[in-house]
Amino acid sequence: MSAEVLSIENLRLNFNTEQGALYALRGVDLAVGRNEVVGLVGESGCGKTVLGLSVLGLNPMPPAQLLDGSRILFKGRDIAGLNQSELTLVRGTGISMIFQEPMTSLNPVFTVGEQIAESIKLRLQREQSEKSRSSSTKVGAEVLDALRLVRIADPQRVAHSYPHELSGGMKQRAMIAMALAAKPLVLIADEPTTALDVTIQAQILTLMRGLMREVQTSILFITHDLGVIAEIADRVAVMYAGQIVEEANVQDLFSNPLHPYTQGLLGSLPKLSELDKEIEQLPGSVPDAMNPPKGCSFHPRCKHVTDQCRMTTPKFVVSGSGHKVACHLYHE
Amino acid sequence: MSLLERSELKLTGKYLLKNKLSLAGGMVVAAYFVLVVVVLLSGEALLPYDPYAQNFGVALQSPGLNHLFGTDDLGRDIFSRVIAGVPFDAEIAFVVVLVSLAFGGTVGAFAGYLGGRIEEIMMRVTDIFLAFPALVLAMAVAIAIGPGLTHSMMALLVVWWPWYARIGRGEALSIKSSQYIEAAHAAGLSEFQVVIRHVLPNILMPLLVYATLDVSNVILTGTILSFIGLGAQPPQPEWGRMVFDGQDYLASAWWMSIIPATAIFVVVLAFSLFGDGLRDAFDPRLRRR
Amino acid sequence: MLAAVALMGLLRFCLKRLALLVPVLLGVTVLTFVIARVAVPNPARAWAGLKASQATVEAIAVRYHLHDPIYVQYFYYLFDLLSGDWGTSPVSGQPVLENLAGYFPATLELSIVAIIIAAVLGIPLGVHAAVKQDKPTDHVVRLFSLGTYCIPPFLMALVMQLVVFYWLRLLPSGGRISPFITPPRHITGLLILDSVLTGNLQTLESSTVHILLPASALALLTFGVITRLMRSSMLEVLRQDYVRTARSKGLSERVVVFKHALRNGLISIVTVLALLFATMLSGAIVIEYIFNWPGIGRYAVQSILALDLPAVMGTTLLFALIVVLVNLLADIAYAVLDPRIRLD
Repeated sequence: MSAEVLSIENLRLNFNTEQGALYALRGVDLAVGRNEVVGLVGESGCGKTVLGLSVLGLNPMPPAQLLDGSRILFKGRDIAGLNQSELTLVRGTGISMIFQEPMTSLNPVFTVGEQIAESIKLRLQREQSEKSRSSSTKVGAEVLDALRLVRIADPQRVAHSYPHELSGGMKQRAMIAMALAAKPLVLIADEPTTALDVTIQAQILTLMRGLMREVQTSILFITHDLGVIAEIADRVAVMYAGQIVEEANVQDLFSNPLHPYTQGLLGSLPKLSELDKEIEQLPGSVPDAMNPPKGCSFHPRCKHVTDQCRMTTPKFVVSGSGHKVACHLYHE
Repeated sequence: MSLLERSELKLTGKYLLKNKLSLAGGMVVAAYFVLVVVVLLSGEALLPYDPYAQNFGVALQSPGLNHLFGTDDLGRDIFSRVIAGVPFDAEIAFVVVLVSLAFGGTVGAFAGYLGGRIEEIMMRVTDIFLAFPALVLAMAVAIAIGPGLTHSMMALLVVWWPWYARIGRGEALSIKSSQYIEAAHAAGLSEFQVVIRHVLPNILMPLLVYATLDVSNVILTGTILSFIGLGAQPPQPEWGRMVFDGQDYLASAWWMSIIPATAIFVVVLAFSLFGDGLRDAFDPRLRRR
Repeated sequence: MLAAVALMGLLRFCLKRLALLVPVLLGVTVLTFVIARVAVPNPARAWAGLKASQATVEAIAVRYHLHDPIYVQYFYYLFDLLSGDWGTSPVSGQPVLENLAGYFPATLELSIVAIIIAAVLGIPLGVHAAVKQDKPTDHVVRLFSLGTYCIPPFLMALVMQLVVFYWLRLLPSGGRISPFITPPRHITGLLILDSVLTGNLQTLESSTVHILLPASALALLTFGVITRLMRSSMLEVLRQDYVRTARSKGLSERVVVFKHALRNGLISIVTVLALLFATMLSGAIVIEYIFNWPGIGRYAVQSILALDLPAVMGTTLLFALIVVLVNLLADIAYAVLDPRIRLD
């Protein structure tokens, strides 16, 4: 569809270890549209981070292996099968990524300004077909603009600071500034607020929401926190054991969760309006990635399980409002 | 041996086998051991020539069928001298390493475990010793107390124990908070008893691994001491000394220096390869690869 | 403005480190004292020289207070050291400190060139091995760097002398400069540097050519350690998150490795380079002697061969001082490279 900027189709990725293959991604389909925030939610180990890294080919490739038939469409090209040097050209040109730990994701020996300038210089270099030398004053001014964009009050000081001199929240803002300085169409955000205090978390989320409108960048927001999803996402995809099991716009998902797993996730959230109700627990645990269950991966933990669930993998069923679910309970 | 220890050893064995170079090193080390014992027991009986017998008629002959490694300026057979010289460096290496390990390791373990002032003092003292390059300090001690093989051994002991004290301290620190130490405390053992019965046995393994690698360093330093005349005295066929004696004849009879020097190299390399593999085998992080 | 503040912080850091060194330095003098005056069976005879008359021996005993209690002796010893009297060599008849000062520049020059060669060899090899981890190149590099460290210094020196000098006649062996040329004007004592500073091409060529053989021998003995350390350091760094971030920005692998990773990788190596220096000094002793390089290493060996105790003790003390100083320099370099350190 023309409104899609990034389209992931049938993404399958294994990790080959000495003990055997780890099925990290087992046929994921996901699309990110123009100017939308797509939330990707799931427990740890479901493969959401791997999915985020796969878009830019950042999974270490000797143990990781992309299987045939996987496609990642961006700007009309399939970037899934590209080798590392080809991928270098894609990164920073339309797709940027920010990571979970701002503490360790910034290089400690360079100032924040220097690291942001790198992204800007790279972008300018690629925009102009010949290697024209972008003046350092121009780049410097853009660095300060980038920092102002993320609402940093004293951009001069922060630009000359080293990462360890800044607080967690500031570092994450700097990371966002660095990612947005490349003027991407899509920003992949892998748990950007998880390592931060709750109050700072709220600030960053507000910032990201505001930015989205300003710079017209779509966001693929990966998190395990449903509360965060509710705040920032337009559409949500729920991931379990390397597959997407449900996808809907955020209101529909929260008011009418269809997949038993989603229901379990939402049920386990304490709600102020139901203080005396017991918190539901999902029985069992996340399946072993080396030995995923046959049929529907959720069937060992599902209270509606049938023989069909144990044998066949459910296909997606779509409702009118675009609410997709992969569960045998539902039919077209 | 507990079940856990047995499977640990099996994994170690498997890893060592995979690393062929270390294995080769290990085999040479084993052969070296055997040679030392054989030479010590049989004396000169098994050698083709008397290592001390001079024969000017065949002086400075290049390696050949009669003399496998050639002869030196006094007509002595170099092959016999090289073999006869095996025990010298071996003796120095083992005595120095084992005594340094025992003394230094114990001192370090006590210091690391007891902490506080004792640890501080020990660290300062080892700092002072370690400020001197090993060879330099050994040279100074050796020249002060006089030449000779035993004296050079003593000089090396003075220089070497601080390394083991440092390692002993480090290892003791890392196991200080372990559960079995706490248990020993709870059982009412005195500090001294805890160190002797629990700390020392558990730091023995890493110390031994380090010691295997360290033998190379001791042999290198010890042969240099002999090279400059502070160790074994002529006509003893010590390898380092032989290299020194052959220097003047380098251009005309290179085998006089080069062959004993190469013998040292082979032994040192073997211990290094073996020790390296041993260290990798005992490093739990590396084993998973 | 910001630079001046940073410099002040650095100065404070240096002074603090220097202050911590004083006890170690004192301890070093204590140790040399114990060896020189206590461990020696007959200190008066040893310091006077084996050929000295009984009168001279007695004079020496008085001069060095050898009849006084130990602690008195030590104070006089320390005082002498600090006032520049490091003993007189019975062999050369000159003050030991003068001899050492004369020979020191040669060793300094040799060590500098050797470290440069070793770094030029070792750092890229180590980076290469890390990038190609576990592939055949990696194994070869690891074996090679381990193997060269095991070569006895005299084997390395003699083989190189034999092959490069005697057989191939490629490079000279012996002396710092051709005996037929006048050395350049003395500015630093480092012949190559002095040649450059005085614009003397002839001495530049001669001194460079003469230093190559001993410096290469010394470098080949020690570069293996640099390679192995660089490799493990880089492996550690390449695993870090910020390397992943750098890649995600679209920077080429070359920039990622040589700009983002290398700078961090070098930091941890600097302190170990200081340790390496101590090993290199030990190697220099044998190398200088075999190549007849007029430095403090050769002086040490000659003094031992002549049983010149004052000279040996002086050299030993000097070696210790150098090691301590180099460690301090490494600490400072570490602070300069890693911005996290200065907030001490």
